Amino acid sequence: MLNAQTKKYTISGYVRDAGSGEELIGATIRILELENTGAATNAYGYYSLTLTEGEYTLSVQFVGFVRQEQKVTLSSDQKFDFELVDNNTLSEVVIEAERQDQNVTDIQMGVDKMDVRELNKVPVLMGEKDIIKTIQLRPGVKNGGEGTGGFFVRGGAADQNLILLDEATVYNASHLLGFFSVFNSDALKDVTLYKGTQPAEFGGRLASVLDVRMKDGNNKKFGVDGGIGLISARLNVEGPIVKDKGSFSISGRRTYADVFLKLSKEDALKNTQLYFYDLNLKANYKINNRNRIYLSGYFGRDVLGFRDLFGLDWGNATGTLRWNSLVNDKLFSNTTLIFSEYNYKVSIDFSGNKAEIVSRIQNYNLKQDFQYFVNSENKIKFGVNSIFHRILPGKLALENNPIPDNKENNRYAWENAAYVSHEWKPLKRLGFEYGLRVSSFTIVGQGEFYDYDNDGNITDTTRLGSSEFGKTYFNLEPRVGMNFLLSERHSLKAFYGRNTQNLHLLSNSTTGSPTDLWIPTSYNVKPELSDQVSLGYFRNFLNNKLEFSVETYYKWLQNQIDYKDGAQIGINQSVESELLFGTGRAYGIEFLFRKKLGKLTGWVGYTLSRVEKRIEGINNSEYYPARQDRTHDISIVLMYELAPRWSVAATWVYYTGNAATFPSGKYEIQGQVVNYFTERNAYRFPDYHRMDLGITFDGKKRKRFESSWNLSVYNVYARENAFTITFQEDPNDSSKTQAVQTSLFRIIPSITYNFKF
Amino acid sequence: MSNKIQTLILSLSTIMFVACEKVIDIDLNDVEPKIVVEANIDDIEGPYQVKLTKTVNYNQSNMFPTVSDAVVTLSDSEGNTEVLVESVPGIYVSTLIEGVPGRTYTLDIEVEDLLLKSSCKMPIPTEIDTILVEEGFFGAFRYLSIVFQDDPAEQNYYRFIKVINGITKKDINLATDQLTNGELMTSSLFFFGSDSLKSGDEIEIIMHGIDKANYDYLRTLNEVINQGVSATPANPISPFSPVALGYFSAHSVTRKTIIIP
Repeated sequence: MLNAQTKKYTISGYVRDAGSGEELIGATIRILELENTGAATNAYGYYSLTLTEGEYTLSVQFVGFVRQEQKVTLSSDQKFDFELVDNNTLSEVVIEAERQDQNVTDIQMGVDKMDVRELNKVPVLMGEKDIIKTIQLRPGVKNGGEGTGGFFVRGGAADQNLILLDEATVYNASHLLGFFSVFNSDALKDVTLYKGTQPAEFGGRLASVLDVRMKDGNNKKFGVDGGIGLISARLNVEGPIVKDKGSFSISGRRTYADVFLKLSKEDALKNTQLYFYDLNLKANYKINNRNRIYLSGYFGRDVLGFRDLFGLDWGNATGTLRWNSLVNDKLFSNTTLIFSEYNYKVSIDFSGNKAEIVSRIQNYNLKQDFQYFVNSENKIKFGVNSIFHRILPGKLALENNPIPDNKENNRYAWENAAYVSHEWKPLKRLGFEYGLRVSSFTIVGQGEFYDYDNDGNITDTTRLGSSEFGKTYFNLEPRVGMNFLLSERHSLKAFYGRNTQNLHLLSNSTTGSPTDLWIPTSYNVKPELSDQVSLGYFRNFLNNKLEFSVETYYKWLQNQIDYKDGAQIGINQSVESELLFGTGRAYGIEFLFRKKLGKLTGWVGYTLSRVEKRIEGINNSEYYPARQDRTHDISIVLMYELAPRWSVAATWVYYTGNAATFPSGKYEIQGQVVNYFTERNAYRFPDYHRMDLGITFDGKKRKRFESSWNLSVYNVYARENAFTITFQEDPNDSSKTQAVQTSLFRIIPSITYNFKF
Repeated sequence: MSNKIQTLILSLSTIMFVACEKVIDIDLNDVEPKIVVEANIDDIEGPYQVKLTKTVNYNQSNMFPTVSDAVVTLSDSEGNTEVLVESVPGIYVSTLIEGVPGRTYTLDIEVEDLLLKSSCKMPIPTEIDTILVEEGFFGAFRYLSIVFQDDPAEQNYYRFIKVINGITKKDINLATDQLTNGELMTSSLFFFGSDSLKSGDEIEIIMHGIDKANYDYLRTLNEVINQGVSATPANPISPFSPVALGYFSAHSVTRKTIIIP
């Protein structure tokens, strides 16, 4: 009898959306009888809890869904799948104050899980709802500026973010010169941002991981939804392949601004092409209760052209094949085969002389991940990962020209990693997650590799034959996180982690360009390293209606890259000779005050931060601000439900202008006035601020049809924010010079119609 | 190339999205005035001159102070040496030294506790074979192709200066034989805006043979003048040691004139 008392059994299963059958990621399962005991579903909606024999009440909840309770008599291993009902689908919702205190109780910190449905209300440029634009409104995350697609996390550069779409790397997440992101929010299910504090299963970038998961598709019934806006239209079709066993989702989007350009009287505009499209596809099938396969893909392209004379098109393509397998109730396995590619092509026709430049980066990735749910105090994750990279920095082909084509000088590399991490709750109020990632990066031939001195002269050449292995860099990346619950309402968290990065984006322009160049670690370019410590305090008020957090961090950066004075980042072989290497440091404090429930929702975020580099050969080898250094960053997002079918939203952002290099003096050469520069990044762009407003009106809900109108106004008070600043001769007085600021947008209103049936 | 694409993208995006420009006030630091050197010697008869001026703060007017009382010495690889005479404030001229292709010239300047030095070998001149008038973008505009035979024995660098109806233009046009050593080379020169080629225009092309240091100087000077979107704008690569603003160029000169039909 005594023995039976201590016997342990496992409850496991999936948590799904009752409406669509989609698995819910990060739904929590609590045992009401036991303080601080529970589980959360993994990226495939699976949970597993091992408890001693007894009677329990399981409480299952997920943001935006009605909480469910289930009594369980645990005397054997059991399976429980839950289907939660969406709040919005109930006609009269009485939301009781749910316990929504994951922010306090989770061990992880520096993690931001975005509510994809919240996106619909945040006003954005041209009414094109956009996950990346919304992420930029969170503390610790800064937008790259108007007209640039990148974002900066805790002082990291834009290329230090690992952007994953169904685990495939997206190398350039922006469309239309950075004004839109590649993520069509119709196709998305879950978006999580780790601010450099990711667990050991992620690696490869210093500053952050943006983990984006696509919708699996409704496996209960067919559905169509879409939207028509001023510059683009979207359509999503989803439905079961076999009811409750498999489903698909297809989403497409295309802008049609170029159609309007044709109406323009100006010749330059009339003959200009500028559009993008993208396509998301996903299908899954349950082979049996233990095995399921998923296939997903993305394809997107931007096209920019002027008649037949100039063309530039670029885009990403990804493909992911996954196999989920439950080895047993406690061991979850996921095997993934991933392909991803980014490329661009420039073509120029000059009086019949055609020139074409092609550049691409590709990788093939095989991943094996295991999650072992030992018991309610212990969870172990481990896995391996192997990536083969192929990079074509640039190939120039000329037609009708005596210069022979340069060869396809592909760069090859092989990246491997293995990791293990352990989530451990020794006490009800104390939790740890610690792990180790071991990564390696091997340079693979064929190719010639150069070492350079500081003057850009070649000091050493290494020749590798086809498939020959060159130098291998090994790195140990330990990560430790801790959560101490001071009480039910507040907690202290700490984190230390090391990250490495072996792919580097060279972008020597203030505005960024699709032609920015990815280069791999080489003999000359060493893996970038970052060590981050962070400490946070999390507190909830008013029965978890209000969340408050303050997080502070310090990062030590090694092998950071910057450019020589006046560096030319082209597709030339010696591009590495234009680079300088050194160290860096980033530190800051982030405040977030957030209200998730009620008629008024939204957040206020403030970040005070600094990021500096120290590189021999720049500013007398002293610390100087990195381009993305911004002292203050404020964002306010408010959403208010005026009436059941009317809601309004407002956002306001303010940040210190980017660091920039401006002339301090001038002189004359050959009759021309020339700017004289004294220091790198010693000046600032003017401060940036902007307010956006949006109104959403939901049409009458019918049985088979729903619709809504969204009206938004970007930059309501027409602030002229600087896009570029040029220093030039005063056109009215040639004895003077002046600084001229170009700004892109004043007020941009837009309207979008969304439908669903 | 990549810079040109960026500039194009930039101009397209400013056309696409209702862009607006305005003059702004930026508080720029004062700078300690720095010496600026403009020194030329060529294979045409002297006197050759060296001009010394100083930088001013950005917000000052374009009046650049001259520098007097410097000791400016010009010497060549044949052992000739001459101290230049300050003819007007800031302008130092030669009387003896001759510009001969193939010789290496050295400039020494002693000024305000500074000792600046630069050496430059004057290249052998290259004649222009022909100037062709061509049509671009299917007849949208006309441009010139300068055809000349490159010397296979040397790495060559060229600069072209346009003189339109007697007015010398300031733009910097460069060429190198890096990819076309020893070949019959063609360099294209473009004429935009009010400089667009019209029938009857008399166009003189002055061709300079320059050394690598001056090619790099002019290339980076051109970037500074045309700005673009570089995030790391910087002063041109200096041919002086220690680093100073300006240049010392020993170049050969050839010319050809055409009348636009």
